[in-house]
Parts: sequence; C-alpha cells; structure tokens
Amino acid sequence: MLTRQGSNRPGRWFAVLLALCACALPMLMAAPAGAQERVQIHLAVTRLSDEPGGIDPEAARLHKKLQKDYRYKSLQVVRSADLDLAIDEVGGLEMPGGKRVRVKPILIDKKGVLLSVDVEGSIKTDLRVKSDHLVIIGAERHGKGKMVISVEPHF
Amino acid sequence: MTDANEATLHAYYDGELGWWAQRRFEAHLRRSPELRAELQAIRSLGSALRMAEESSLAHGPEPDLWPAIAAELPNTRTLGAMESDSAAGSWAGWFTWRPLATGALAVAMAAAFFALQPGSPAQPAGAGGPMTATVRYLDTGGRSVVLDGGEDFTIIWLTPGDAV
Repeated sequence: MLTRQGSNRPGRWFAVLLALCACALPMLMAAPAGAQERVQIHLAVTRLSDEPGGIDPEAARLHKKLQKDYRYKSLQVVRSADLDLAIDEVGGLEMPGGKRVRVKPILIDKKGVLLSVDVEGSIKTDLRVKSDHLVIIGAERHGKGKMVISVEPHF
Repeated sequence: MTDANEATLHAYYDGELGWWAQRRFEAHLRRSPELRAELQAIRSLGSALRMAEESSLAHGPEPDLWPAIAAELPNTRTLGAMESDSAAGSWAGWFTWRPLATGALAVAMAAAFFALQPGSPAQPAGAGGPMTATVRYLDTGGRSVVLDGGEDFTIIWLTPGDAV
C-alpha cells in the first residue's frame, strides 16, 4: 500500500529562518545607534607665553600646530580634563581667574560631532568636527601670556 | 513471543548478531521450544521463497506491473509545490529556489546593516576621509578673530586687543 512519505520540513525550516531574520534586523539597527551617543573629550587650558619655561609634553600636539604661525617661548598646561559626555550633556573646567570653559555635544552623525564651546567672557562657538579633530581657541590674555583652550573629541 | 525476541530471532537468522549476542541467543533457543519452532518456520519460508524464485525464472521474467500502477496514481504536480511529497520533488525544490532566497535575504540584511551604520564599519563614526571642521556659529562679543586650520585641527584666535 502506498503512503505519503516525509513532511514539508524544508518549507517549515525556511519560515523559521525568515522569522529569525525579521526579528534580528531591528536589533542590528538599534545597537550601533546606541553605541554612538557619547563623546569623549579631552579639554585643556594651556598658557602660552614669551617667558622662558619650555614646552609641556602634554601640549605636544598643540605645540606642533601653533609653532609655525605663533611666537612663544613656553607652553604649559594649566588645567585639563577628560570628559565623557552624552548628547546635550555639559562638561567643562575652570580657568585661572575663575572663568569657565564649557563644552556640550549637540549631535553626532556621519559628518562628525556638533560641539558647542563656550569660553566665558570670550568666545561662544558651535563647530562640527570629526573624531580626533583638535579645536584650538586662543582666548583671553593672562598676565604676560594667553590662555589657549584645546578641545579634542573622540567618538 | 515478545517483539524483542522476534526482532532478535530475525537478526539471528540474517546473521546480524554479534558473537556474544549470538551465543546468548543460542542458549535461549536451547531452552525455548517455541523459539525453535519459530526459527524453523522462518527457515522453511526462506526455502519456499527461494524455490519460487527459481521456478519463476525458469518460466521467464515476470511482467512489469509498474507502468499500469503509475498510470492509476494521481499526478503529484497537481497537488501544488508545497504538497509534493516525493523525495525527488521536495528536495529538488529545496536545492534550487529556497537556498537562493535564503542567500538573497542574508545579503539584503547585511547590506541594510552596513547602510544603517553612521560611519564605515571599520572606522568610528565621524572618522574617515579628510578631517575638516565647520564653524556653524561664532560669537566673539564683537572682537576680531583669526580662523586657521588644517586637516586635523582648527584655530579660532582672538586678535590682540581682546583683554577681558
């Protein structure tokens, strides 16, 4: 007597695979976005002066960018901070003299991070920069020197 | 006689038992007249079948009945591709369009995954390509400023006369 053999296992297996893929796709979309919502920022206040004092090793990258066009004899990091900021979170530090410098990431996208930088009493600026782009703000004078704020985002 | 004994009996007759199992079964045979009778019946049946086969060959090959049977069977193609249960039909379909569809789906998902990334998968977002900055807003309180920079840095420099 002839009987039906086997079952539609290949079709059922394919349906299960399709369902798994459909469930995995939203998770794949969500994970990368969550990982990009924080920015690590190295913020430093450096005193640039004509007085002897040498170049602070911590300011080596800053010195490399400034030495061609700006004349000085010493470069000393006065204050620095490594910030880990979420979008719209404000971080900063206090400069000599009591004024503050503040940074806030506003947006992260393919073009970089939109940063808001506020040097109290001097400059307010919004810049879109890529990761590891060094932003140098020559701000107010301090004695015989000048305060230079450097902002290095990494994301 | 239990099913296990019947299965062992047939295995013994077909010579499929291992040495130790064969010795154990033969000891059982010696103790069980019923089992010996069953074994004899199987042997008689085997002999009868062999005699019948030899007799049929002596009278020429038997007619092929399959064409007549196949003509009476329903056409499996009319049942639809999903209900085709013949081994050749279902597995032939499995080895053609389903793997292609699965592969195409996997490729589409991978493409969607990388397309949705904010940056290159091998690089962090915002990296790659020439590093430049865009100044979207600048307020110096009316003081003049020099803008300078390069691929990986930007300088916003208040000019002299900016004492606060």
